[in-house]
Amino acid sequence: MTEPEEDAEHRLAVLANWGLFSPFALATGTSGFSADSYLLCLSAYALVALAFVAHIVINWVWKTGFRPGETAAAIGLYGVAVLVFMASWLLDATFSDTDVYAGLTGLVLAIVGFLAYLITRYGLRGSFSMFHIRHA
Amino acid sequence: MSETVVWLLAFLALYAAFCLFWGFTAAGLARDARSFFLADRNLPAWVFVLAGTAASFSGFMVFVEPDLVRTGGFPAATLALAAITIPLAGVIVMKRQWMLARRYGYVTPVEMAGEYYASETLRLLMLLVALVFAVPFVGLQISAAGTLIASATGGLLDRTLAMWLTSGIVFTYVVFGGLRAAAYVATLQALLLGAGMVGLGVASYLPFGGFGGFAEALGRMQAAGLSAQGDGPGGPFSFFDVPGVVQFVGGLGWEASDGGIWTGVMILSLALGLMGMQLVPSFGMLGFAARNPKGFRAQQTWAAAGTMGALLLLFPVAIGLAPHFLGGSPGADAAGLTVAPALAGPPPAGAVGAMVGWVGQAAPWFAAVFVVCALAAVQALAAITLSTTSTMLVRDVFRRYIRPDLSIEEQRFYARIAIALIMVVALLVASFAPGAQAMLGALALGYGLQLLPVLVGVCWLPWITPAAAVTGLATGLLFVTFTDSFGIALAGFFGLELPWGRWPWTVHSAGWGIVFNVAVVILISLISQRADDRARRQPVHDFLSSHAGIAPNRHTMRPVAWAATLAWIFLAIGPGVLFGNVAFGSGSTAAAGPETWRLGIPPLWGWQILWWALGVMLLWLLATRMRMSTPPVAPIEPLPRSQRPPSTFDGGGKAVADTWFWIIVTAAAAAVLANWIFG
Repeated sequence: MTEPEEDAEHRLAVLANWGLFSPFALATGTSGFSADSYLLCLSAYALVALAFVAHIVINWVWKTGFRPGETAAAIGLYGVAVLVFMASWLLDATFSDTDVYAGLTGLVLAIVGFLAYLITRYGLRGSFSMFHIRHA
Repeated sequence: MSETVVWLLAFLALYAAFCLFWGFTAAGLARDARSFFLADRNLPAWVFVLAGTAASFSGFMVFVEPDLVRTGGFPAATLALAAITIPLAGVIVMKRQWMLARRYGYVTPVEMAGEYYASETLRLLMLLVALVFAVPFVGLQISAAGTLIASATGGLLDRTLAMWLTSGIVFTYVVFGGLRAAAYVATLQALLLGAGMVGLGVASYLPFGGFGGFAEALGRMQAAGLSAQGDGPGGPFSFFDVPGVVQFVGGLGWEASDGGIWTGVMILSLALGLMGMQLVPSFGMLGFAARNPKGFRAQQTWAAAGTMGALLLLFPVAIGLAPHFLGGSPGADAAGLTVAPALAGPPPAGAVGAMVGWVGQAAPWFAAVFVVCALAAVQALAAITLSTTSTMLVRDVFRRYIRPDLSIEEQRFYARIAIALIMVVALLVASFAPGAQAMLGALALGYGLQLLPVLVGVCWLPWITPAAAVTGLATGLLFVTFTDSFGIALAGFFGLELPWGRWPWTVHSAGWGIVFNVAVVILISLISQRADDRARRQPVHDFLSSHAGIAPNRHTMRPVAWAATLAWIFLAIGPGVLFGNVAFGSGSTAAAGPETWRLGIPPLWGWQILWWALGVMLLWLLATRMRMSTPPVAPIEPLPRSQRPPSTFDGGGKAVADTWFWIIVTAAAAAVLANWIFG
């Protein structure tokens, strides 16, 4: 098997994983916000977490890490989620307190999950070192 | 534009982007033109597991199974056990086909069987089977997906337009990336197939407050004596009982059966007919493309039998029966069984369409996801079939008989043209001749099953002679044809009124075909043994025996395996399924009814679950313990090209093509004349 083929198979596994979970997570989350159901929103976040864990397992199988493009996509989507949340909170009259709590929970969970991944992957010191910039 | 349409377009766009991305990526990964046909025989095991599962179940199980349950009740739901019979076919033939393809360099199963039996007629008959799968059968599923999209969009997207647009996605990624693209995309399609079934199934339990409420509703249905097809109480068809082992009636459209068509032999013959999904040349080619057989037993035992079996037992029942309780059944309405009047009469788009529509009323985003999942299920089989059938047409017809000097690049070019032609023909038939498509598509499963003796002869039984294989296959195909709607209509075209209807004696046409096929194979094999022919074919079997890795304790295990398999077939899907009527309680309205349900669910449902679990164990026994799907024990060295049989026909290909052309023209002229005189 050539390297491009192995690379393609890894990418296929990642895309198929997110292709499966993200529509259902999006639909569940939309249902949750629409019906003011905190539980449904949590279910949506659980699906995203499941997809993330599956991605980690896929990376482990292929003995590789997250690609820069994947990290950029995740950060970009997080940014979009923050913007959509803020816009909905400010502009949507039907955006209830439950929706606010659900949205904040999701944003916080994403950060916590990201930090948890870094700590388990690189350790506490290693994770901090990533953000620690030494000045010459 | 409704919310469902907006969400549907959004999800369709993402899905199309995935498909097209992999079409172009697969094209870029191609090492040379040869890669187009079999993905360099390098598909990883996990891709084969997912793609094979998607191709095995596809839209047939997504659309047809719930509708069969809607009209046939729990007897029809026994077809979920096709999750065992479909991979059983793969257990029997897949590994050994793969070994032969590696050894002799076969690209298509048509080539393999044609070389083994040294028969041009066999090649053409196998191609006929492949074409019936590719055009009408796949067309039926594309048509069902188009109907679903039209229903989900409230008619905004017309069924025909939806079919053409969505098929355009398939065409694009297959024509660029070949089988690799079809297999890669099928990985997501398989996941969406399963997830969609789970999601829609869970949604179908919601009106009842969950599984317990659904079981109680079934109890009320049984107590009300509601018959299948929504007839009023006291009607002839029961949702809960298998109506006998067999009924000696003339068949649909000739003489109605008493209690419905889902007798023991109908369930048996159709469940066996579904084995055709893994016997057809298209699936064989997917197996040829696998890097190694490591994925075979995982696909057969755990993906198909285990996972899909569990899903098919749990969810199509709810999807199929829920419409009855949502206003989709006048009989249920009259009996006071409706839990929520969401539907206005029997659903025109089928059970899946009805439940998607019901979900869409409250959660249009979910309805959109389910539509894409159903579309994905259909397109998995369509893409793999398109890619493989085009390869067969180019290599086994065009190159073999007409242009033996075709280079590999030219073969890829003509394969792409063939993909376009097959797609256009399938869509034209689906758009403008749906009746003909339905009749022809109904033959596909029966035709596929007729390949079983041919492939068993190649893989296991050298005493099946070429004459027997060819005659048996032709006989089987004829019996399938003339016990189904197409053959009856064809006979009528010639002024012959057959004295039976569709599926006489409540035996599916696949069953008629295989019985006579096997009988002919055995009889002709007995009288046509030739030492020189056997000597020519024996090296194939010697190679298989030495490399396949038969279980060391096979002498002990073989009788056990045979007994287990035959017992399973008899009790799970055969005449013994009648025990399911009473094993876990009484389903009959004449007896105590739901209070006797020992498992809290209809007895037949409990029987199906029991035999599903035992069926998974059976497949594990055969695939793993009997080593029928384990990797070969010795490395397979491909034969040098000089030692392989020639893949071009040296008997004057153009002359053969010319002869067959005039045969077809003469036959068509005779048919028109006969119709004019007698029709």
